Amino acid sequence: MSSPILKVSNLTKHFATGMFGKQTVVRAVEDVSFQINRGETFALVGESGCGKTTLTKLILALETPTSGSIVFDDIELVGASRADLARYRRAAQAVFQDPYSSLNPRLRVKGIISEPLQAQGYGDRAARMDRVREVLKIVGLPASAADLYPHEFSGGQRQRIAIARALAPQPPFMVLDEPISALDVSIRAQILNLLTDIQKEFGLTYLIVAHDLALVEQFSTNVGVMYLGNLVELGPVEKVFSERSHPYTQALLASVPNPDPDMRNPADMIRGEVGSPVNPPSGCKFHPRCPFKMDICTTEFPPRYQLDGKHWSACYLHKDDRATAAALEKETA
Amino acid sequence: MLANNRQQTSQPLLEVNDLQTHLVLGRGTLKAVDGVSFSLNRGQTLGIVGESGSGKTLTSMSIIRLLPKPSGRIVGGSIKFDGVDIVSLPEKEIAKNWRGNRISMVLQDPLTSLNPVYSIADQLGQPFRYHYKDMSRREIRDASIEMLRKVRIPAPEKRLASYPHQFSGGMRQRAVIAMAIAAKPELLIADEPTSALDVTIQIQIMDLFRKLQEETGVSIIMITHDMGVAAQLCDRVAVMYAGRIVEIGDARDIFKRPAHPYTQGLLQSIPKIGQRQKRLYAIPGQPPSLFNPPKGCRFADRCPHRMPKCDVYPPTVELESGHSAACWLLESKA
Repeated sequence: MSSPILKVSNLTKHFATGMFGKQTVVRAVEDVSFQINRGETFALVGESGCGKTTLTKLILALETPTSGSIVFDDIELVGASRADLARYRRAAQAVFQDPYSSLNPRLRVKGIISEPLQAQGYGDRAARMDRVREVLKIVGLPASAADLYPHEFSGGQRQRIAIARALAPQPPFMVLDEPISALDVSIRAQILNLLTDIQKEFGLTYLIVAHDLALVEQFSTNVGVMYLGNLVELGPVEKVFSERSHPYTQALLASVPNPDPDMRNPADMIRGEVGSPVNPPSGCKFHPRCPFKMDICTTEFPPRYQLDGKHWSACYLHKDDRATAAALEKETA
Repeated sequence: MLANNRQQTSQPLLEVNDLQTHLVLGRGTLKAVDGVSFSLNRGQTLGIVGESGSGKTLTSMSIIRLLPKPSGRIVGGSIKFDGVDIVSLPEKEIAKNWRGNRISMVLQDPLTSLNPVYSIADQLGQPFRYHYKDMSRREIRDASIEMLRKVRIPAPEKRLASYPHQFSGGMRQRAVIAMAIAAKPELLIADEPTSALDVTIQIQIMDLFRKLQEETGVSIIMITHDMGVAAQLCDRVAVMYAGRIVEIGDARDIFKRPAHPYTQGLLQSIPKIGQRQKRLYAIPGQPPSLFNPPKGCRFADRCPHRMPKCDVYPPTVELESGHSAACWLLESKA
């Protein structure tokens, strides 16, 4: 269970932008390392501009990293051959946020689900249609849905179709990019439970990107917190959420509106807004908003301090903690 | 301050009674708002929670009279604002004396409510130019700076010449709020005002709404799908389902003692920080079509307590002062 299926090491992605000869660099992802174990759900959280979308694109091999490596099973994705990439694309499927734009409106459901199968050389037509009916049943839709078009379904049902499409080639790994945030509140739990059920049934590994922290706590095994391109804290979800080691994690969790009118959220927990990845703050990128800022934070980027087991936080507040960053660096190298 | 100067009476600022708003579409008539009644006192915040299609947005669009044209129309009921039924007022009168200066609105996405080709000064000056025709340019400039200061935008003098793209998402929403309160409305309708923002920004904007209400005494209708936002910001909460209010009460009653099975299901199905569950409760099924809504309780098909009686629409039962719900289960408590 605990063998890694995906290993990301020192991954960096810079985009060059600019007009009229003024070149600037967007540092979307900077030196990110983590691994996802077989059968677990790994969550990436962070606010817009933190790089989580770029990171997922890199992992889905839709973007080429500036440096670093991504190893899936035994395939090194960076510089992989076409054959290896094709093999990977069968193994890694994705479900996106908006089921209104992720399904081709001109195809019937059977086309939507079977087209990728055909591209991957999955059996003959009859075998593909069998698989379409099979996955529709798994996601809780009747076989008759196969002959309908996406517009004939509600948002929740469309997301079920997107899940069926992802499930069809029997992938071991799925990327879920905000899979429920476009859905209505009463539908969200249905889809979440469906994702939990199919994970158990087929031994799937999930990478989920979400901004809803309560959902992440409910749904995932490990969580990585991103801020302006860097991972700032990583560990088992119950540790990260209960110990709240990094000040940014504290701020994020304290900002989630509490659905209890007697438990007021602290008002002045966090000031200011996320900086720009084009011109990020020096040192720790969170320092302009951090209530615990020290002198060193403005000049030096903090190393990862191991807290216990697999839980680390990149913040100088942990400098005096037992384990040293060096030991952690060695372990993950 | 303005609201405080107007005479303080026990009369609610807003009384909506049996409001019915329809959308006449090619496919038929959508009964989007089907008999909605509530009242709102001065200085209070009422949350309207519900899912897409529940009618929460069209209820508020009916109040500020910004229904989609030509499909949207109010076909029944009354909206009394400060004692005046504004449903029958002509559009000219609404535009001149009501919309903007007595009733105002903030929408979800600040990028679409700001015009990208006009500076913040141009756009923020608009409500002053429209509602106070005798203000000089100098006065408008000063008033605009004052509004930016009020919504806590730092260095407002320098920010006035900026364009929307030079503002971050949170600052844009602050600017939109500044425009909405510029003509000192008594009622501010905020439709998902924080849903497009990141959580650490959302909490700052929520705090801003609280402070503005303390400072100006404005009444707020907060439309949201986020139960957390409703719990944090609202004095009273109305839960809408399929065009009707199924439960209304003080925020504490709604969140601590939800009476309607839909409210109960909704609260149970949202994950809460620090309370990991084995499996989330999920309300089965989906909302009914409003082209041809069921005669009885609209939630019946998804309700775990469904009874034969539910084929008739249940009466609204008052459970405690100001807390009522429409469900046959509560009949004995009437």
